[in-house]
Amino acid sequence: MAENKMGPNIGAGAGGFAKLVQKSLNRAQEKVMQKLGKNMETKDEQFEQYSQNLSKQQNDGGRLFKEAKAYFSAVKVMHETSKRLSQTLRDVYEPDWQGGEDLSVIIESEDLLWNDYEEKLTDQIVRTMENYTGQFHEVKERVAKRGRKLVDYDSSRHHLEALQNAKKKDDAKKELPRRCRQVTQRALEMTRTPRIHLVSFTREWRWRVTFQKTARCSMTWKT
Amino acid sequence: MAEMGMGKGVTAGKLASNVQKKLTRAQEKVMQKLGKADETRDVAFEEGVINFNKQYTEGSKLQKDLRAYLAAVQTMHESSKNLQECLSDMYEPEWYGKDDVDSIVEDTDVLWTDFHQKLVDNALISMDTYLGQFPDIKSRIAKRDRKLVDYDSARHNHSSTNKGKKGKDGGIKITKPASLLERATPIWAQGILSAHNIAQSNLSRNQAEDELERAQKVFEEINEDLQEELPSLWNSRVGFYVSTFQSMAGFEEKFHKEMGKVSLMT
Repeated sequence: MAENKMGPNIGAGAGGFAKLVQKSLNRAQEKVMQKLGKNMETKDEQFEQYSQNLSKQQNDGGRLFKEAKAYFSAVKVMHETSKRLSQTLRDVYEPDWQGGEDLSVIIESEDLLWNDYEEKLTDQIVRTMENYTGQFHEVKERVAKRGRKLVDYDSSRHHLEALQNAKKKDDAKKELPRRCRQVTQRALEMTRTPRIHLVSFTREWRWRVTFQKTARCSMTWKT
Repeated sequence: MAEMGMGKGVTAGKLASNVQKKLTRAQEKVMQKLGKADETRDVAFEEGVINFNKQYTEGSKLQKDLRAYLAAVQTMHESSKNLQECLSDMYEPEWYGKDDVDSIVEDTDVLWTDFHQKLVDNALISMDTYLGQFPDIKSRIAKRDRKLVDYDSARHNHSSTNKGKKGKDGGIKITKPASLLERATPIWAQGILSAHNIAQSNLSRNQAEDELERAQKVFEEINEDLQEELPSLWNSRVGFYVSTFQSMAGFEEKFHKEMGKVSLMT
């Protein structure tokens, strides 16, 4: 099986493309066999759990980000309208009335407070959330890749089994299974790496708590 | 002013009289602009009108801004609520402080609702009531202007018909160009003709007098009312602004303070 996705596709062109097509075909075939129950799937319950958690975390994060952005724009609108109202009031204020200068000072300070709040929101909430939600894409990619490698692994495993069951005593033919075995070993290793990362990532699950508490604190009302 | 009498309950008559009125007023205004007729001017009243318009404009702008502000408050309430609910959903039951989070969400919701409601009930309603008085007065000012033109027109009409009388004694025959009718009239009928002419001019003079009295009465009635109302409206603005915005500032202060307390619970 043309495995080498890692190696540089020197002068890939049509050759490289053909390899990719072959890979996809193999994977599709394996999956169909698995669905039909003809082949066994390697299952990893633990990993499934992690994967689900990842999806949930991504969804929650996305939703939180969306709401935070909506909140931020609502804050800006409120700032604007409050300022306009105060300015109209100042225009109406006649020169001989008491307290005209105080009014200007008040308007200035209010404006500063609002700006400060908006800035804090941007820096602490919006930026943070952007970064947080940004990391999901890469991890998901790696999970997907692991899934593909798993299918490859299964596929080559079954191929190997099939060959062994055929009981071909031919040396040349035994050569092929050995090579298959090597390939499958490499594939298996590659599935392990994403798993380690995923475990450490979901440990950040706990970090989420702190994050969310921080987010809430940052939204402390400024009097 | 040959006023077609108010057609006794006939629409066509009424329409005709309205048209007549407009024509007369337009005519009078043109005369005034050309300087041929003098205008009754009331500088004090005009100042009052200027103030009135200024007050109306200011009030409308304040109302518009207040409405926009209230809409923004509403929006912020909703988005804040959404955000907090999102957090609350994600907050897993076994995490420390779950109850606090839920109560914070509730408390802030109550505060926002309360704040918005107070603003609507006090500031917005009183603003709407205050501004509600203006359209009526504005139309009355316009009516007063029209009655003033009527009055001026009647005045000029009256004085021009009187001018006729101020001529030489029995000089009607002499001042007016001899009409065909007069020339055709036989000597014995001349007396009747001149009596008829005198009667006619008396009639129109009396008409003019009545007209003048009526126009004057109508105008003065509406003028006096407005002369009282305009200044008092103008003065009321101070009290209105103070009460509205003071109470509004009070609500805001309370709201922000309470919100600060809620957040500190974390």
